[in-house]
Amino acid sequence: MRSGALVLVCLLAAGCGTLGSDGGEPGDLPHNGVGQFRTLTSSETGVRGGPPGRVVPLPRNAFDSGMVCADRLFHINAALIPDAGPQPDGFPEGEVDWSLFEPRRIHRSPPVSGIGFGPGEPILEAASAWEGADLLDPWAIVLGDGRARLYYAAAGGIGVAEAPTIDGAFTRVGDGPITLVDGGETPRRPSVVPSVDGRDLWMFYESAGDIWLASSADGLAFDPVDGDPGTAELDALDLGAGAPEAPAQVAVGAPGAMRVESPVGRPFVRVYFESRRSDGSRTIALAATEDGVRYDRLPRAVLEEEDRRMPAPLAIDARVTLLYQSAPFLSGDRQLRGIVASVAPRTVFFAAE
Amino acid sequence: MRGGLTAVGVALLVGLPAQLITARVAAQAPDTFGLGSRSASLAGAVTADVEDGSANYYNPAGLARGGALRLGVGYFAVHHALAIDDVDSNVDPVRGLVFGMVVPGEIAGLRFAFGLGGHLNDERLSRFRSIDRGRPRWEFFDNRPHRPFLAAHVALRPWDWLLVGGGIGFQSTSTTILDIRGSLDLPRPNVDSRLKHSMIGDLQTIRYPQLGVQVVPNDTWSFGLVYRGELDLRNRLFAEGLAGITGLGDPIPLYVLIETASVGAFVPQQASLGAAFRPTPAVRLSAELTWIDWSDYRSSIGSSDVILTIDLPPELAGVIDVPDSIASSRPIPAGLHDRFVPRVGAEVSAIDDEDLGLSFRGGYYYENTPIPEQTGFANLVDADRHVFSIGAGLALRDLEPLIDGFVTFDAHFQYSFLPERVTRKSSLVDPAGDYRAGGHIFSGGLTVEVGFQ
Repeated sequence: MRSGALVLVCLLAAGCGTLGSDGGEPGDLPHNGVGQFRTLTSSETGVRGGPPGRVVPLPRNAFDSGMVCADRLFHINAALIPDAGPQPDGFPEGEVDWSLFEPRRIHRSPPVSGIGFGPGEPILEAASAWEGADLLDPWAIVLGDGRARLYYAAAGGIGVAEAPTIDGAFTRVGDGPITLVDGGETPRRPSVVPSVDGRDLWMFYESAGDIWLASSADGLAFDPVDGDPGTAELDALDLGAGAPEAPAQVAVGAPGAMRVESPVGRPFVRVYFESRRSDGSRTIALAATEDGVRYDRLPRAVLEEEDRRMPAPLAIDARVTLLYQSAPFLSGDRQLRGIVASVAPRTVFFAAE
Repeated sequence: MRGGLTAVGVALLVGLPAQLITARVAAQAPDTFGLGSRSASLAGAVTADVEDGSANYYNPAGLARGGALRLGVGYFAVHHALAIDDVDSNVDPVRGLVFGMVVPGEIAGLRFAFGLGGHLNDERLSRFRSIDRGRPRWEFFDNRPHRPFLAAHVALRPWDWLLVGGGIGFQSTSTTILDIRGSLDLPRPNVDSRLKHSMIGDLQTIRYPQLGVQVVPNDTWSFGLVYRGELDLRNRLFAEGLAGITGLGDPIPLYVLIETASVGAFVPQQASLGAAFRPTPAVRLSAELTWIDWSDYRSSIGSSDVILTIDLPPELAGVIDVPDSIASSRPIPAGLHDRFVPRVGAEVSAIDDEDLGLSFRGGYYYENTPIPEQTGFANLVDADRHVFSIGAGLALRDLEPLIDGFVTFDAHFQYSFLPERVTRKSSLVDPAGDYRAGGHIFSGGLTVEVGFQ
């Protein structure tokens, strides 16, 4: 009897500890910034008005492209001409009729919340003959001594301006565009990042439906990087064709690059770009390289939404990447475009400050 | 007479129904963290001379080693501190009740024993996760330990120097059939849909073998060999839906069939060969080598087939996009390799009187990861594992008149160090990318065993 009681007591004592919890799900997972990206909501950006994910106000202005450097958004926007007429019927879908707007200028917007930006102020406008009427495609970097350098596109090519600091006044460097190899059309959309080894600056740019790469020690004089060393002539980069089931890719452009270092210390450069397809649609694609010549291409688009343009990535940390792009929307009877932001992984959500 | 019974006994063991040998077989938390505090504190290097309730896992031959009826119960807990890229992977803890029973007997001079042992988890009796192929997870720790262990054995001691034992473990596979019929209202699915469903779940028992031998040539040496069979828990789900989509005019017939199959748990067959040495009565040293057939591993990654048919009216053909087919998924070979696990253990008796015993123990074993570097799409995360264990045991041997026997209290603490492992992907645009994985695991437990002479 006593033996049985002893056994029973031991069993009950052990059993008291067996009340458990429900358990959980695996924690945060590694992510390589390849998408799928999720477009942010207005509550995350703190900016109201279309299109969804907008990061800058001025809902009646037309935007063209934007990128973030040192927490400032550098972007192109233009106000509607006061007595502008209506947009012509049959104007191409998703395009902006820039003839109804003031000349495009480069603006700099300060952050107003974690993700959103204020309207900003113009910092550079076309002034030289080679630039024509509009400045386009700003891309800013901060140099090692604290100076800010601004690359931009204009009618005659890609120009450079500098400021003492990221918030300083920009003045042009030189009196003409940078000399670059092109495919027969004026280079556009410069995207400048440190090279994989960190010793040089790489500039990705678009020309004639291709993306090209040039390298420079000082960021002012660039040497071309041959996209196919196996041939005698200089070639554009081969970024791959994407998924075979999608409409055929007929052109690429608008590169937005970032140098990253994987969690194991492997540096490489990601290039987000527009993949323009035979049916007229555009998607944002991704390729990555360790040497500037050979690229791994992600087969599928990084964004579900179509007609997103001018991708510009920003690494929040080793796992989270923001991707700024321009997206179309309607304001009254006019087609406009705005700067929006998306995030990868999709499971990341931001709380507005 | 004794020889005749021995022959019968050996025939019973060796001839354990052939189905047991061919069946797919098991082991769970004990496989990773051990069973019973004494054996766990010796790093599992006990195959040669185990005789308490943990013999139901380590070597069933040991059930016939002692002469006492033993009833043991204990509690065991594991805390994982595993991280990928310095971010906690939130691997669930494992906690559960362990128990073991040894019932000795003798017929016509032939010593034998029956045994029953097990591990029951707290939070759930069992858990399965079928995970997306590319999703990184700790393949050996995230899900595998969340399964019960239950085994029954019989052992014989035909001669004093030879002990043989064998038995079976039990597990359950599941097949679930889900049937959904009715109407699905697209404009207001939560309000106007009328769907009925029925579900049939079928849990089927599978058994797996465990066989062991202990050889005791003298009081100084003991040797052991054990074989544990393979466990492959498969789960199947069939879901069939037949509904009419309403709210868009005439009802639109919809048919969907989903069939998934996954391996909820796989424990490879393994064999362990060990020796125990007692240079003095107060000192016990042991060493062991375990072969684990990881190359036959089947991952928990599931396969799925989906058939979706919607007869859209022509006016909706351009509005609703119905894919022609939904791609099936198939698990890719994991490519694991076998591994050999060395184990060593030591035990020192500080007090060994007639009424009291006090022992201290320590052990170590090393598991090299059998998972190759995950350079492709799959992400089976693992790292080498160094396991250090310590423990102590207190034996009260003079309990009369309460019982004619003894009570032992054994406690153990185990620390696993998983040095960081680097994974470099062959593609720079791999969704997960490169990562570092490593961490620590802490476990411990207490076992109480009552012995009746």
